[in-house]
Amino acid sequence: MPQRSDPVHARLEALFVTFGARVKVLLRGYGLDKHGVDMADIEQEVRIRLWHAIERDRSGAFGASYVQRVVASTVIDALRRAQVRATEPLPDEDDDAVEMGADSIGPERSAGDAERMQGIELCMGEIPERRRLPIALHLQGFSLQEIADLAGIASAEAARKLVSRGMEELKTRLRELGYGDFDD
Amino acid sequence: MNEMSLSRLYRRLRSARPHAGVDAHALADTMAHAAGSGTRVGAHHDAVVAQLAVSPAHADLARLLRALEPESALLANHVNDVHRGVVPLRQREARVVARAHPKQAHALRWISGIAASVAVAFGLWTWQGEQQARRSSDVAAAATAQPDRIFTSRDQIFASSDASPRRTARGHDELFRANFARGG
Repeated sequence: MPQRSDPVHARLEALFVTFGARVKVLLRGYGLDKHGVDMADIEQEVRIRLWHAIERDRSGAFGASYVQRVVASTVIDALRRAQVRATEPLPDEDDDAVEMGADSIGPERSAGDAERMQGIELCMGEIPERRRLPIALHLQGFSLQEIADLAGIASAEAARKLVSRGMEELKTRLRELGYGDFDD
Repeated sequence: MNEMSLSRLYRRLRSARPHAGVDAHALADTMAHAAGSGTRVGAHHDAVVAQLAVSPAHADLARLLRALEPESALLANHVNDVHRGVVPLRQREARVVARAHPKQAHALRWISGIAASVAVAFGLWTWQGEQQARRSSDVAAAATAQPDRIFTSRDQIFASSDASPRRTARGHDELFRANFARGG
């Protein structure tokens, strides 16, 4: 790694710190922190990986797609680690430390939600494939334009029609099966 | 109160399920393609989109990547600028050329020296020619103007001694004609 007093090093370090801070803000903004990842770890890891990329090839051009890949791989690795941690059994001494927050879901509500989730899965399976993907992406929080771009739909307006028809179909079917009236 | 938001229930349902991992590069490429950055549709495009429809964590990451794209492009540009260095482009290119072709640079120096000498010589020659032309035209002008001045002075003297210049002139002409008639 270059000397700390090197102005090039200092400039790159400043750029990576700014970029890392932005990544951290977006991690929180898009709710990645709720998936069990450590945002500070990701920020640091992104910076380290970018440094390694520069060290590997100093003469090569640094592309935006490469930066995106670095962030994607860092977050996916963190998600994988979080998933592994979630499946590992907690040690005995920590059993009492499980926090029951004020907004924690009680057993009755949890059972009701599980039943409704089952109903959603059942009804989603009945929706034709052409509309299922746009609905699923809509439920995941993607915008109409993003849905159009990802699913290869001609326009956001076309995606809106597919989503609204599909959502109506889903709600109607859930109502018919006795799961009640749902919001988007 | 029961949870009746389809979106929240769907995401909870999907979060609880184990899901296949997503290839970081395929995800970054898919999002770049969706953002219309000219990236070609990857072989894993459909698999990635299908995964985004069922995995809330990856869906959040996909949206983060989309939001991060301008910053990634900016970072890539800045890093490339830093790599190119602080020396202005023209100077840098000149140095590179000089370093790459020292013989050519030497020849160029000679050629430019000779060209400068020729330009100075031509300038001197042109200046001398102009000076010479000016001098000879002055001499010619002086030679032709002198008799005119004498005649003029004579006329003036003659005019001053005579009260009627017209009559004098006619008389002079008549005398001249008489001589001419006699002689001829």
